[in-house]
Amino acid sequence: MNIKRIAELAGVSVATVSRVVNHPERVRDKTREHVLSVMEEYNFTPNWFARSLNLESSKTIALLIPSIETSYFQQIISGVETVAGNKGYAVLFGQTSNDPGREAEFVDMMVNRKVDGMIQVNSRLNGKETMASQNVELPRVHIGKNRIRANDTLCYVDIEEGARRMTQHLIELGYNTIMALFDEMNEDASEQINIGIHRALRDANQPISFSSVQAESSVRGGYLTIQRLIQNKYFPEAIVTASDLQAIGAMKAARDANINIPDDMALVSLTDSAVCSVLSPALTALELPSKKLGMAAARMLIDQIEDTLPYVDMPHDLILQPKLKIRESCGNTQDIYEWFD
Amino acid sequence: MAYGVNLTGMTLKNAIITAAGPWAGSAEGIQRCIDAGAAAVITETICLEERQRISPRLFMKDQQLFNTMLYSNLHLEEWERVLDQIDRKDAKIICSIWGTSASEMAYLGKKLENMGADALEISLSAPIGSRNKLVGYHSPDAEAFIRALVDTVNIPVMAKLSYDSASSPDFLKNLENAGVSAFSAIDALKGLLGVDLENRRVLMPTYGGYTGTNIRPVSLAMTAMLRQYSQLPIVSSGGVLCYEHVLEFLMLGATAVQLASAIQLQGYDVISSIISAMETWMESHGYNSVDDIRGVALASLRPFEDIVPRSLVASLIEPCACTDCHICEQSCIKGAITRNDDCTIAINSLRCDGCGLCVERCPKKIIKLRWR
Repeated sequence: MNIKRIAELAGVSVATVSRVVNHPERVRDKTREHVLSVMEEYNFTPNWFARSLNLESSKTIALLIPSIETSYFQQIISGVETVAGNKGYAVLFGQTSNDPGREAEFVDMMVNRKVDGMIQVNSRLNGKETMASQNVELPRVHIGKNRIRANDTLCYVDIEEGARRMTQHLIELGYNTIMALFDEMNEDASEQINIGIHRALRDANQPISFSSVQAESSVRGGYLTIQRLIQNKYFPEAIVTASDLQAIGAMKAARDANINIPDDMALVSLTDSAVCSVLSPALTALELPSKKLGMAAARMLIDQIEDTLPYVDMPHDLILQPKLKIRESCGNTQDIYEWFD
Repeated sequence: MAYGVNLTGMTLKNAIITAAGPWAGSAEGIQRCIDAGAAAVITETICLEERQRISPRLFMKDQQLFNTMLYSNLHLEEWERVLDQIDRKDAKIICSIWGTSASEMAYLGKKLENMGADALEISLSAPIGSRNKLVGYHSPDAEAFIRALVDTVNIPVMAKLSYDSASSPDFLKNLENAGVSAFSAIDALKGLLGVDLENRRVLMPTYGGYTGTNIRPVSLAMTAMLRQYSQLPIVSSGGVLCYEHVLEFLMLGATAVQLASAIQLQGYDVISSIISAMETWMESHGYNSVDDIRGVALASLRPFEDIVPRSLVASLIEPCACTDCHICEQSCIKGAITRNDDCTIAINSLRCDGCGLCVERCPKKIIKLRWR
């Protein structure tokens, strides 16, 4: 006996059966009584239903995040907090510093503190969890593409497509040598960016020389990397940085060496932030809907926590699209103001 | 008498729906639409964005109304409370939605279905902002977006079309293939209020949605065209301000009609006055059902090529001695209209080629076209 069969027997939709269990107040009395009587007749008590009646909710969710120092992660935190606050949940959070051991400790700690659910940002656990957390059926949402259990929910920004569009834009502007600065602490993002860039390179009409370096995701990381390039007398026609901070450092290094952006070298960032539009030249960047991402993750987690009977057909993964904000640093002169692609 | 209509399986008590807009952006606003008698209320567009709206966002010059609103300021959780609060009576609630990816659309649509939406309307191509490059302009992505949504929900999905998307039979076919149940048309046109010449600046900071009475002729044409391109029900919108406008759209084949600018400019009461005036007209003309008038005017609409040229010329049905009015003279680029010595109007039938503009413009309505 399952929810679909109950719906058939009761002559209502699956969504209505779900509502009877999850939000009985939203179903007309007659319908509710009818569905409940069918459920009783066929002795249908969903496991989830029973479980939730036994458990006491702590109205707390956990958020495990690699860092709280970059605007991208800060926006995610803000988004999670916004929705959690809306729904009356407190957020407990832990900074994992991309360390799987630290993350595993946090998972155990959160389970012991009886959180109702957990959001893991760019998890590094790869299934290597401790015994305690493995045995707990905790609602779990991942931000990033690294699912741990087959039925975990995923939310992510399609950075691969964003990197492809950004690279395509640079190629259309006529650059033939492109270099990428990856974030040395974020392997997953680097891999997706790399795939996206190579998709654009494959689609290009002319051969493009591409190279990449790992750098710290900071102003210093961007500065040192570009300074080294310049001192080695090699610099590409266009540079793509993973973070806005790297791009700002790169700008400073270029300025110190009297290299003009974008005339001598184009520069774009795969992370937009509030400062990008006020820099000179204004920095072409990819806007990542990070607050929206945090909000979506919190929503999907609270859906799982509160809806004792899962809605059939509820999408499991949520993919958000970034937006290309074309300003000045890429060398675009076609338009008199910033435009979005 | 009740003039109900059936829209994709939904029974509507009349043909009047309130369009997606700020008048339906809160529980109070939606309730006022319902209380005023609207058969269905479409919510202000709900999405997963976190951005705030800009201010000012409504611009008006003469009769030209512009808006720079994309979506509701309320988060999904707040919409859940709104939808719980309202007393629906016998009205339907249609949630207008928008998203940037197929999975986002599907998630949002499913959530709203579970919150009790009777149908969904996808805002495909509002002319404001840059959000719609991906889906609004005839891209195959639109089909994928809508298919993801249609496959996920068990309620009807309507697509709100821009002027250009409604003009493309291929695009419409894609939407039909994706499983759309009805078309809403048209969304606002893209417009700019003008330029401040002294300061060399535009009068509004970004492109706006141009709505109101001036876009009604465009929307009338789109309703008639959609009726020919597709068998799906059409919900017409664009400058519907009074019951006569509603009847015009119905006679061109619309199943129902959306009110928008009318509410913005005249308040919620306009809903009930349009509904009762329309019922009075239907009764006084002996119609029992909206079906009796739906599409009846289409038979008189022909392709340009099928219109047989007739040899007509303008002529006065009584002498005209107006000396302070020169409208007909100014309108005649053929120079066929002049003044006699006594200052009365003279029409030279050899020069007149029967364009009919003087007939349309004569304030006294004393010029007619007659066979040469």
